[in-house]
Amino acid sequence: MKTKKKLGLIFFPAYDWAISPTHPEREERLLYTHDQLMEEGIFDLDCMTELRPLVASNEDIMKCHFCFPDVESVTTESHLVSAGGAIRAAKAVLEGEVDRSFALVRPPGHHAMKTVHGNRGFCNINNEAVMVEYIRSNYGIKKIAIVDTDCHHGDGTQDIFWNDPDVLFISLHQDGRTLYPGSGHIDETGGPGAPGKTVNIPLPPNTSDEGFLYAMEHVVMPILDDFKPEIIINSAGQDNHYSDPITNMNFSAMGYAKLNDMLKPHIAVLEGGYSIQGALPYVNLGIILAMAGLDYSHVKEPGFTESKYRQSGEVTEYISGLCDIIVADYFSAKKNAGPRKDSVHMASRNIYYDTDGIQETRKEEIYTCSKCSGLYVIESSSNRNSLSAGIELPYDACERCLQLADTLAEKFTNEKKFHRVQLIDRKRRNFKYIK
Amino acid sequence: MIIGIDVGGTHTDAVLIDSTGIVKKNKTLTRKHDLSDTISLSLAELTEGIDLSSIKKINLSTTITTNAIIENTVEKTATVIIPGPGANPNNHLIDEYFFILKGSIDHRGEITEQLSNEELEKVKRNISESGIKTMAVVSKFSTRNSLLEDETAEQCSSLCDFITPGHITSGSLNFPRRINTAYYNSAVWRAFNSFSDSVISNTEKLGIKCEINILKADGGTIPLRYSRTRPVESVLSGPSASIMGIMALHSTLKTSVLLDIGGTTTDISLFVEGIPLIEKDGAKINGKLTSVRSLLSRSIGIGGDSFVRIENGTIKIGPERKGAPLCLGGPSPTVIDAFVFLGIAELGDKRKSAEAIIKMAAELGDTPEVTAARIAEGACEKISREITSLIDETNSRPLYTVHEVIENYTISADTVFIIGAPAGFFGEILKKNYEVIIPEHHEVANAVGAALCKTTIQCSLFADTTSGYMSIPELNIEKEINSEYSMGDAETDILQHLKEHLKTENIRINYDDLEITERTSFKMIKGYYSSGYDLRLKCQIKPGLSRTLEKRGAE
Repeated sequence: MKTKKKLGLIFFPAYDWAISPTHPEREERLLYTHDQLMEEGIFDLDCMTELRPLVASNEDIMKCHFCFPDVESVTTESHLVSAGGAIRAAKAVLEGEVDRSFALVRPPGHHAMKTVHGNRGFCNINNEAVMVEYIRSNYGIKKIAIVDTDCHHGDGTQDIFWNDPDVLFISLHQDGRTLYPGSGHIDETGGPGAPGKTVNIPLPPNTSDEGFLYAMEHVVMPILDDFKPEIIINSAGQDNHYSDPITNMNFSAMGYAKLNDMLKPHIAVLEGGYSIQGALPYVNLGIILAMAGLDYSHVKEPGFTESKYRQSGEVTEYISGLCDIIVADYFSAKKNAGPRKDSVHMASRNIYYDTDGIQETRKEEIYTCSKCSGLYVIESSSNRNSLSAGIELPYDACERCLQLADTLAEKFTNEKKFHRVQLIDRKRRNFKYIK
Repeated sequence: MIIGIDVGGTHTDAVLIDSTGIVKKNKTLTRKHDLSDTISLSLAELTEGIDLSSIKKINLSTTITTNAIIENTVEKTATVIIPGPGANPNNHLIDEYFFILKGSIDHRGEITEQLSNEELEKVKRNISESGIKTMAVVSKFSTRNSLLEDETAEQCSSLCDFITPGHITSGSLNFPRRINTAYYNSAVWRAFNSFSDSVISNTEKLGIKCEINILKADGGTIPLRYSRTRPVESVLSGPSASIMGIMALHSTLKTSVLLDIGGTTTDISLFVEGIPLIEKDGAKINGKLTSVRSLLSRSIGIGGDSFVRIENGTIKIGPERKGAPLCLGGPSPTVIDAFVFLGIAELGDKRKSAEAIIKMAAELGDTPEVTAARIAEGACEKISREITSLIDETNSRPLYTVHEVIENYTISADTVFIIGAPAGFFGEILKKNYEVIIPEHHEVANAVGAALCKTTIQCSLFADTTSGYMSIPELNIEKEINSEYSMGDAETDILQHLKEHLKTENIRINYDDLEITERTSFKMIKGYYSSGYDLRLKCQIKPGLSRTLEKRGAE
């Protein structure tokens, strides 16, 4: 007998919002999911509480993202409601209204990176990341794990927490060599301040329930057991489904339910998934039942048979080998990580925003520090915005990093080359554009 | 002239109304085990000395179905469900004779699995052997395609006297609620029809020949004749009678609260901009959720006769009622006794109330004045808390568009209308926190409401131009459509089919009252191209009054 959980549902289909009239991220994306949940009487169940989303404030966004030229220019009201839905989900769990919660919101967010100039991969604002900062700044929670089960690599979330030792990011996705955004390889394991805290599990095309659940059991669960997060978040993308039009995987609704039953996330946030008739109604139902600790054994897509979508022996063998390497890498990174030293790491990268056709160039300086999680500084420009800068201080910032940040802030403000300068000072709770 | 009768748990109220207003009103005791007799007596008294031919209609609010359900005296009924994939179908078990059949319809109304004849034969044998004569059959998504329900009903029709297919009970999506609704509809069918027969024959015996309508939980009426196949719609008509009554007695309701305070309970309802709020998905009957359209109403166990005692050094009020107040010869102290002590109520034997209050005060170590005030205020406090919680609940209803969330529409109410026998007493206390209004004739507001309610009906249309079909489940209509089918066609269709239905059923209404209340259209995309439209409409006659009585009150 399963234990019933009180589940909070933030169902926000945004029936009046679309990226463009024929874009997959459009008004009726959650229509049939809504129909299925209504017909099943889900909202009537005693263990379900339906909650209205909040509207995320500019500050909520600015605790997490560097937005250029400002928050208003890169968001619509719908993004603020979607992020507000994730915030509501977290609030409900952390204030004890419910045991777990699921934000079925759109638009999605997991491709939105640290810097935001517009929309990439259907995302502007990273709902989970905004939620994580809301949780950390309001509830004194330190260690959080995000498990991203969208078929596309959660490159935005990875980028945001790349150097954060307190946030473990695990992404299961279709191998980047065969799908957008092309990243998420096994050697992407975290920044200099957080070695091993990013875990990528790139699964081969045609992976079915067996492969996903194998990776869950042999990689995700042992790593979570080791990391011991206080809160587990599922970025619940649903495009691994066999019927999804833009991916090549063979995951089923029952598989998604089993995955959630195993993961037992405190909070799930909907991400992608564009098989709005064949997958979403059943996958969402499966996830909801599993999260509430209810019987999901009768959830099945019409016409689905396991044998039809079973993965080949080759795939099984490949996944087994892959999982061994990933787990070994995680534990060796942990073993080899000595005490943090004072140093500066520089990197630069080009980020392409497919939806909006923006090309961003970003230079970053990661300060690792022996006394705190370290300072993070970026310089960013794009074909939309001239050069801007961002300075971020962690919750545990030491006196020296605070001083360094202040010096840099003054310097950037005075330098003519910077159009905008944004400050994320988590220690002193100061989130603003200083130029 | 119109007659309105509200059969309540304790009293049956009746009013006779003509163009000038209330001509006569009366209150008789309800004889719980003979409701049609109670109605006859009430009618006889009300129509004495009246020209019977001038009576145009009788509108009746009755507890016959509500009581049968609450007291569990319903007929043994078979429930056959066709769930397809989803949540565990055993969750929907409602009664002993419960059958689950193979077969499945998806959210677009496509049959993805056919019925199994073998299984169906087994169910038929079972029903036949158990001697059951009424049945409900409900399939998931039957509002999108009723074929599996219709086939099953057809197969079982020779075995049963009455079968309710789920799709006629509601056009909304909610399989569990449709199961409960269809089950209750069949389970009260026989009792309701025998009640109807006797009401008709008793009325004829009295020499009254006019149309008889039944009040529904949504504040509208349907002809008694029409309700014979939809008896479940007559449940919970009591609160709706009161709500419609207050609308008749007071036309400027704005955003306000209605309290109907009785002996045992208080019913709380809300008006927003003068319009009563409805339950989002349907009424809760005896703890079971149904799709019966209903006005929003919450009942709490606080009334004039609520039992008052001291437990662990504090005053406890309700929810039980032990009997009448002490001052009226009852067995134990009540809220009314506190009102009597405070001089708010002038009722019966004051000394008996005082005795009890003084005794309780001594036990609490307070003065009798403080004790009586605490009782009165405590009772009102419980009502206030429930008002707040109902408003909060209304304000936290989910919103599904960006526009609504940004607007963050919320209500608040400062005005409280109170009706019912102890209205004035509670009003004395509640006026400290609210603007309190107690309208004239409030003691028969329910009967007035019943008398002046209009006929209501509603139906929904679902069209999918990609699959090429359209359905109006409540009217049992399904037809093929072409890919050019538009919102305009859908509007024409729903209005036309509803009018035809009303004509066939001989229900007379003003067609101008029909309105389309919901209109949504989603463009369906396959790949990156438009493949058709998903259209959803709802059409109804909104609950309302044939007229108000307020003018006369102002004279």
